[in-house]
Amino acid sequence: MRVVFLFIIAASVASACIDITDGSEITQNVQLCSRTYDLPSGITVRTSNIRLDCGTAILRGFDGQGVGIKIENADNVTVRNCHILTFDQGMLLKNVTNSLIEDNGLLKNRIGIRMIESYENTIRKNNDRSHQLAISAVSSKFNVVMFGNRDIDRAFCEVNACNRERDMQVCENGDFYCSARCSPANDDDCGSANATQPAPQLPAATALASQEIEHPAKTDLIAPETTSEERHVPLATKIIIYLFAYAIGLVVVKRVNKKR
Amino acid sequence: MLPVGYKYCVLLFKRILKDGCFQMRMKEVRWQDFAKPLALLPFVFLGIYLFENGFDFIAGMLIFVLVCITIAAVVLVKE
Repeated sequence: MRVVFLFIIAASVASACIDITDGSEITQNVQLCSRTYDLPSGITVRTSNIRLDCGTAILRGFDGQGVGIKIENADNVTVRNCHILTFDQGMLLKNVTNSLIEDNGLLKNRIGIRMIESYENTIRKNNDRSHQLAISAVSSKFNVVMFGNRDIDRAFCEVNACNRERDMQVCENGDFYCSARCSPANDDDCGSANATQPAPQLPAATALASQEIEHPAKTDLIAPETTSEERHVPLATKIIIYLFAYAIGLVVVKRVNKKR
Repeated sequence: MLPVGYKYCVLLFKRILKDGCFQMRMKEVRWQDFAKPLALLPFVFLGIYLFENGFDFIAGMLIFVLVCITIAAVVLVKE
């Protein structure tokens, strides 16, 4: 009888979930209760080495404004099983490293996940239905991004691994980032006194990041990221090219026939 | 709602079809003359693909297949 009682207590402690309120900050490992939370201001994570399991809870914003889950200045944070909807940005990772974002649903946000100066994070098995962009990255490198329901465009993928795992050389000189895996010997960005910490932020990048957070509704700020080096021929142009090539072929065939 | 000038275009097309000169020309033309230029289209597709995606594995395979088919076609036609 005592064993059964202890088992019930242990099970209830193990599965204990908590409710969150609008604007709350997560400072320890948390499992949310599976229900719908209306959070116009979202929630914030500023602590390293913690795990946030939403347990399929729905975090709902108001009128497409604000950020659902904001993680900043943290390392090794895990966020999973969250359904985030109707925010301006579903998740915002600012100066975040070595974190895991998985099994989340991002619906009806303007931008699903936004990363600013974030490195070596893994974003996988998330399903996205954002209005504008599934993912946006500013001054972020060496992240692995694999969405469950869509592929990511090429411009973003030049410095991040998209759609599949890729071996990336994180010890890169001149990128203002020093990975924990690098040393001053193989990365110039690793100072001898600050070998395992992220390097000082780029002034220009910091300015851009703060600008973006202050004015999240401005769409032109994210435009260069998706369009840079993106070579896309519009469908109408393609059809015209095909028709033009066919017309040239007709003329050539006609001339050949005449010569014969 | 039909676009403006639709009736005029239909009438013009019918007139061209009934035109004697056009009918004479069409008698000289065989269906092969229209089919032959279609051979250009895979190369156009390859060009657009290379422009959009750069050189990758799929592009390499496409080039290989197209070159093989072209060489085979040229050899067979000559024989």
